[in-house]
Amino acid sequence: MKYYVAGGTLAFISAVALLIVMTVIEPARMESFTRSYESRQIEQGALIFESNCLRCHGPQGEGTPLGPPLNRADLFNGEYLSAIGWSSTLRDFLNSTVSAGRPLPSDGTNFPQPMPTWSEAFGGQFRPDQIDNVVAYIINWGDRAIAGAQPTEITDDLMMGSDIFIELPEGDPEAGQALAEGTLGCAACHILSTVGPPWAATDGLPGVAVRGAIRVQQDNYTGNATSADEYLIESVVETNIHVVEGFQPSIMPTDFGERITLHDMADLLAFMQTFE
Amino acid sequence: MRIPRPKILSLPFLDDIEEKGVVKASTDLADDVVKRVTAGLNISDVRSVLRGDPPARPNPRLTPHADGFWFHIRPGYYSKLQDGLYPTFRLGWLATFFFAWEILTGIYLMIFYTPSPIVAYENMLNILSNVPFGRFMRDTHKLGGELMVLVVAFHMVRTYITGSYKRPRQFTWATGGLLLIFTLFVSFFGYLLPWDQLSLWAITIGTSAAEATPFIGREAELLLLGGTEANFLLRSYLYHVILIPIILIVLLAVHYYKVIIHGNSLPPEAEDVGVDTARKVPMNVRTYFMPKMLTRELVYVAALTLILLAASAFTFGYHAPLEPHADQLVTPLHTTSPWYFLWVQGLMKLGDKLVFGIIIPFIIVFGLLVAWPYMEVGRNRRYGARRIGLSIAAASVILAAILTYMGTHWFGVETSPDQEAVAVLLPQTRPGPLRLADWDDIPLGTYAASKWEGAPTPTTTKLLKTFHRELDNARDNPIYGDVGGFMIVEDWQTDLKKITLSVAWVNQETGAPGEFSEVFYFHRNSDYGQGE
Ligand code: HEC
Ligand code: HEC
Ligand code: HEM
Repeated sequence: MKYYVAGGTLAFISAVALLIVMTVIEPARMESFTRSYESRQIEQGALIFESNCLRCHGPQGEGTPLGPPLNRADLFNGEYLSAIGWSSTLRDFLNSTVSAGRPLPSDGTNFPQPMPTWSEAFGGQFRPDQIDNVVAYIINWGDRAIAGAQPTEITDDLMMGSDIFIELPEGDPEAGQALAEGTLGCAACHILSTVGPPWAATDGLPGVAVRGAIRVQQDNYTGNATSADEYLIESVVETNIHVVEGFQPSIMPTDFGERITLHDMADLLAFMQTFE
Repeated sequence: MRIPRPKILSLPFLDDIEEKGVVKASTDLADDVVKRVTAGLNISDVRSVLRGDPPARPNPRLTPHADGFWFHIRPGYYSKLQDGLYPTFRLGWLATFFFAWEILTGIYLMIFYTPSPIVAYENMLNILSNVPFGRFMRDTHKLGGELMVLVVAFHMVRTYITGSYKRPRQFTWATGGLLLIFTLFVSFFGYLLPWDQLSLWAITIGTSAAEATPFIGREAELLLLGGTEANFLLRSYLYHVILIPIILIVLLAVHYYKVIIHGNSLPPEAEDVGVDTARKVPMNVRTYFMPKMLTRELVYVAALTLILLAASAFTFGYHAPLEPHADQLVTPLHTTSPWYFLWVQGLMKLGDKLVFGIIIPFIIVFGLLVAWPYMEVGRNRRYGARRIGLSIAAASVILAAILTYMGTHWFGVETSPDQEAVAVLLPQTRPGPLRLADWDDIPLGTYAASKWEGAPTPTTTKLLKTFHRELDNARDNPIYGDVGGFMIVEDWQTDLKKITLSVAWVNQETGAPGEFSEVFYFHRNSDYGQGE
């Protein structure tokens, strides 16, 4: 009996003590959840952006011929908002623009299609929380805004696009290697595995640097390249125009043309040229 | 001498002070208040109860049982044979505790919750980020609910084993069986309310048999689930907070009334076969409810409260999961119904929805459960005489475990080893190793799983090793040749990395290369480690 009363009292006192501890740490806990939730919004928003917005606004929001850059300094420093006379916050601006789209193109722009509507409420496909997520993602570009201050300036001259005869700047093989092994993932398919044709020379097949000259001569070649280098560029930006025998189309990402700049292409080319 | 005082107000306490002095008057008042609250025990009686002193004669501790509401529900005394842990293990009391806990935490949560698909999930976020003790209420409401299912099931097993369902307690058992069934249902409908991916798909799968109801399948489904998302959530909510709780309260009242009417059954070996002496406890073997049973029960309450508090107070412990917002268009890999209905999912893998999804579990199993004491009518409660009955129980428990296993995704679900391997690192209904990994310790670059030993940091080594190991399933599969796993980490935004997990192989039948990849954007502060 004594032990029960003592044990019960102890448990009761500990429970009260714990409750007090919880009361003390509760504000910090709530704050930490808020912070982590805001971070998860960015994560979710990035996925939404990748599958819905990337094709017009570019993978890094740098803009494409189909849509203006979003990753641009004047959007985050308030210049743009005051220029258009928006008096509320950036978050509200983005939220309403993304939700409703822009059925009537803004003056001075000449994009082939209008900005679509995204919110369920206006016939789009996203719930309010999804709009919030993608907005959080756009705002997270804030302190690293890369694109110029001109909202509608089309930056396609910087991007590679799909013209394989375009003149490229001087390339740097080391920078190309960093790209291939790093952010673009070429190495995963071409050097580390055989998901794509290996770049290194194998029995019967020379390295990728010279391989193109053979490929463009073959009867079953369906692309437009005429030289080894053009072939390499074409393989990157027009992946599916000619599919190497024994491989399936579209295994290799087809959007590199929109993801890399002229400079990147030149670097990659220089790197690939090292695989004799 | 008493100075006459004009009586504007009649305040007996003031008169008392005049008469006895402040101290005595106050203690008398306190004594009186305590006596009223406890319906019969004054302060010194309460203290003697707590000290465990033997009662005075006549025993004042029986007055609350006669005069007070709460104690009149409880018996004034038990037999010494049943005041210990055996035979009840106090599981009925435990079940009652959890039920009460669910009601209290549930009411708190109700204040911050609206059953609409538009705001339900946002309400969850608000409860976690903005409501003081919100996480605690949510965590322990969920934990308490699941423990209640377990405790009620154990309570049933114990009453079965001690043969307490036999005459005259058949009806006690029948109401108990209904209590178990409705406990399962109340948990089930509560599962949907957070409106996240986990809850939506668990309940969608759990209710998928409804349409197979004969003749009225479509109507049954409409009635039960309401047709639209909004109705589905609203109905589940109403079942969860009104309909089933009312049923449970009524059933519990009847159940406990029956327990008292028949008395707690004595251990089987303590009675002659066929007689029931639970109500005739001789004076010399009585244990009074106060203090012995009361203290034991209060110790349970204090200890469980402490455990529940501790479970939710810190980052480690138990936290109710919260996955991304419910989405009808995205079915996560490995969705299953809540664990206590996995056995039904297991059954459904055996065949027809109608037979295995409705008739067997909800008509035959539940029917047998409730009606058992009316079918198995042997009077002998002794363990030795009930070999068949006890074997049937053991077999049922084992069968339930097997069916539960069969209900999980490990059994009879076609999966592709490439997706499985990625899902081990990046599961879709819980955080998993990649989300829980140390953000700073994953440097940018492209890594091959097979080269995990050479990975630059401990975290990447661990992740790649897991990835490589999981890909063994693909390597063992004759269709997959040249299997390779890759992890590509790119710098994406401030504090945000893009991590692509990709599996590449060559299909050995067609010779064509195959590829599967999944992208995870990882933010420095997303902190999946804190529970939700
Ligand atoms: C079909 C191509 C297209 C897609 C897909 C698209 N946009 Fe746009 N977006 C545009 C165009 C064109 C404009 C410029 C409209 C104008 O100003 O008239 C624009 C403008 C915007 C603006 C306003 C920029 C400014 O300077 O005012 C935001 C913000 C935006 N888009 C976000 C998004 C998001 C988020 C998504 C994905 C959910 C998305 N867009 C998908 C074409 C697109
Ligand atoms: C997901 C795997 C994958 C990634 C990532 C990838 N490729 Fe490829 N690549 C392939 C496949 C598969 C083929 C063969 C099919 C085809 O021609 O489209 C191919 C073909 C090629 C070819 C032609 C090779 C030949 O033998 O004719 C070149 C050149 C090439 N890729 C360059 C690149 C570059 C540069 C990158 C990075 C910017 C890259 N690839 C990223 C899978 C990939
Ligand atoms: C919400 C669920 C339930 C609650 C709150 C509850 C509560 C109780 C309580 C407080 C007792 C008193 C003795 C003890 O603790 O064992 C009891 C006894 C009993 N219960 Fe339950 N019970 C529940 C579910 C069940 C179930 C599922 C069954 C069986 C199917 C069941 C069958 C019995 C029987 C047969 C007794 C009499 C035991 C005896 O006299 O020894 N109960 N119940």
